[in-house]
Amino acid sequence: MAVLEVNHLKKIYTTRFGGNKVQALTDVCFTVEEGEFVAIMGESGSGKTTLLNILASLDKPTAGEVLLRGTPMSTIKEGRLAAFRRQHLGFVFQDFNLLDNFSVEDNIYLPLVLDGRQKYEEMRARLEPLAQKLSIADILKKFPYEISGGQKQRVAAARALITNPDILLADEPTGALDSKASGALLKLLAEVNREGQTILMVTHSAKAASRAGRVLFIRDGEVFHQIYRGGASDDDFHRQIGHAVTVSAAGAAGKAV
Amino acid sequence: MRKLSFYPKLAMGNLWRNKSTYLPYLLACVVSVFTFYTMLAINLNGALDGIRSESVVKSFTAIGAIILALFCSALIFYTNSFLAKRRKKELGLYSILGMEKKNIGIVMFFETLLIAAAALVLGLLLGLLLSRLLFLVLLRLVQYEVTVDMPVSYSAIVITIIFFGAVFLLALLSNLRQVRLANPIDLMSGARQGEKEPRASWLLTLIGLGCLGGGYFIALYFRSPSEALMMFLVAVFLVIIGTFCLFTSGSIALLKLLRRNKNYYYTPRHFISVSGLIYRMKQNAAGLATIGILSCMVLVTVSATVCLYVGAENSLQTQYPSEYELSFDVAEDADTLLTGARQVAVGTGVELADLWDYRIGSLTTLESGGAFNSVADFDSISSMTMIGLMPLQDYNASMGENTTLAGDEALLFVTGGSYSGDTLTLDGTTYRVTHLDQLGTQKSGADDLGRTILLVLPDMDAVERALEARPEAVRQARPTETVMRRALTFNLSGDEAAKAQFLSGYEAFIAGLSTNGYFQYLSREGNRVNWYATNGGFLFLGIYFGILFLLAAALIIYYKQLSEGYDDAGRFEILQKVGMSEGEVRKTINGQILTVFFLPLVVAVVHIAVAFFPVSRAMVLFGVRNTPLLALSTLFTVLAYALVYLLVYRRTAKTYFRIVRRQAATA
Repeated sequence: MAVLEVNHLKKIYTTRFGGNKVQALTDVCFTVEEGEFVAIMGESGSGKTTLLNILASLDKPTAGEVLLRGTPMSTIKEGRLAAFRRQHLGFVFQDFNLLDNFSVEDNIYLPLVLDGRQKYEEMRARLEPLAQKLSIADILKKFPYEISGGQKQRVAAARALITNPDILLADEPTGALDSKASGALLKLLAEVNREGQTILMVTHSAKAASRAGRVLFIRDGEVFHQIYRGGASDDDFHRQIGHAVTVSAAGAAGKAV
Repeated sequence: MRKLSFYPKLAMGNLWRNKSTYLPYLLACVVSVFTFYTMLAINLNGALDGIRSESVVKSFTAIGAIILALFCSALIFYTNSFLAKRRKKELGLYSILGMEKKNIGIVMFFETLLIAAAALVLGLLLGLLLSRLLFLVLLRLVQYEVTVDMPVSYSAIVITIIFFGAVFLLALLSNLRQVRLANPIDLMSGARQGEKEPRASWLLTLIGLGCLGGGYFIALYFRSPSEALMMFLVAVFLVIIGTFCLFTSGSIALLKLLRRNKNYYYTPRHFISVSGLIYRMKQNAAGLATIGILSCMVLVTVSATVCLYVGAENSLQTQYPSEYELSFDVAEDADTLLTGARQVAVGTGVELADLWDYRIGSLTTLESGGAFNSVADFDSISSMTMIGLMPLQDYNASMGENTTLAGDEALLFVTGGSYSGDTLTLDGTTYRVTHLDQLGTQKSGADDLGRTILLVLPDMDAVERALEARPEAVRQARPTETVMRRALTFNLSGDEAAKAQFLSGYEAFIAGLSTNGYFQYLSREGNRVNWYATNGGFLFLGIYFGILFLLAAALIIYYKQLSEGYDDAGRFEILQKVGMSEGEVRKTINGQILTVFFLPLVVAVVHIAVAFFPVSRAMVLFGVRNTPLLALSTLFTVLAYALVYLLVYRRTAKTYFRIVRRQAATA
């Protein structure tokens, strides 16, 4: 069964006094299977962030439906949404979103503590292998302002993964990192994915997308193209994506004319 | 022409857009102007010249105006600097958009001008409307019944305008200096860098605990009124140090201790609050401690003055058991004054009642094991006992009784302490004593300044023998004591107007008297005027400043919360993304604001509860022995304070939520 199923998603923003209507998503359909690593690519303003917010249940669609493991998100009660989010979804953001008044360790525990169902020892037991894998074991006692951007993003990844989420949602995870840290993080995500973690990543970087198994291209609120890695190497896939982006730009230009 | 109206318009727009921060500022300025003008206008009111309590009222209002000037300017500077800090980013934007520093300065000038003008106009208007009312309240409090007019005081208006003009000008200059020093990039990056986690100093925490404990112990331990007053100051000092240490270090130490307890810390309810509070306390500890201590002082002052004022009658009754009390070295003076009193009484239509006319000798003694020995000197009021000696004949005559006493018997009446023995030894002579529970309207055992024992001896010979028995050294050091004094006390019966006539008539009679002996005259009525003038003035100032201080404290906390709201918005946005529901966010925020807001109040209330005991003992020095009354006035004051505090809290919490929500929505 698909982990995530997105059916005919539509989102229209209305400005406060009802004047302007902005169609952020026109008609988005796709599914993500168990263990897949999917990247969604698009320019700024293409509707990526809106899509991710809806998938994260932070926003509601105007029409259409999102199903997580067959459960429609619209059937979840408002009061249960936050709990749903922390139990089933993991997030990695472009600007890390770590809390500066918590140590690295406490930042990672945050979703578990909010859930309130686990003792400290259990949380600790979960953290240890994760910290090894993400090579953050030696900075657990530090505070976010004491560590580098790459480390911060690995901490954010640990925070997202510690709940064993059904799907990891990553919003431009490399956007604030230098190329070396970006490479390392992407390698990590690929590794995590190989171990079975389903990942959905939104990005406008072809390099980042080239690590995924499948890339969806979104433009003007619609998925207009998708390519599969198949057996291609990262570099080959990178080229294919580059090509698709060029075509897409040309298509957009053609449409504009 | 267009250029001329551009700046004021921009300034107006700026103020309007920042109204959630500028309105409270304007309110503070208006109240400052209003209170300052009112105090000054009362002080400068020429109509006060020549009224009975003129000097008291004048000095109270003069002191009041000076304190107000300091307080208001501090408040305005503080608020202004807070507002300027908040707006750095906006000014940076103007700068980047191409506004020169000069132009920004002009905008700021107009902003200050608008605020100053609004504050002065509204404040003075309010002052003109309400100063007459407040003046009447003051006159009522000092019990001055004759209506005195309260004309508009032009000099007070001018002084107010000049003073606040200068304050606003200085505030503007400090803002301009900031703009001149900063470059646009600095102005733009208002965001904080990651803050270091505060360290908990165990040493300071221990010092704080020690000081607080010591202060409390001293406050509760020293029981005698005279000592208590002195030690109270030491206790206050210790408690202030203790409070500051505990707020700055103790709170963080406690929070870190809680954090170390993993089973407590890693639960949804405590996780966010504890770590959030560690940072909050770091930024706010000193401010909160100050607010706590000042609140405590204001509350103690107000409740004590309320108690003194309300308990005035009671206190006058105990301090002056009789309406008139006269005592003399020269016995003949008593006859003259008594005759005089009778004449004035007939003239004014009152009658002398409860007339006591007695001879009394007084000794200063120290007690050791039931034996009292006369001394020439004593270390402190609390260790000595005053002993009055009265012959039975005078006692029977004054009381209208027919008591008889054997040669070694005496009647004993004690105030300001207790003495329960069946015998009493004075300078070697032992008397078998019969205890009296009441003397006229006075009850025995009433709290007083030091212990006073009245011994009624069988006859005048016995009194003289007792005086002769004093050691030689004492007799030489204080020879005047050997002189028996004669005392007169009496009340009046008649209507109030006639009594007032008697007071002035009798005072005129006494003033015209010539005597070469020592002569003391006390009248309850005469003292009532002073009492009300002083305590009424105290009460007026106490309440006036209490309200003003409350306003300032609330304003400061309000601004602190706002600035934290901007800082916290990002944090709560993250929490929501990670899976905290809005309800949980709300609960957590509420908990934090509640703590920051009410911690100073709780601390103040605890301090007051402890201070209650020394204060009630100190009240004895002012003649108020009514502990339930003090308890009631304290309770009432604290409740009134807490109520206003609560209102400000709710307003603050609302604004805070709006900020957090709006920031989260636009992010």
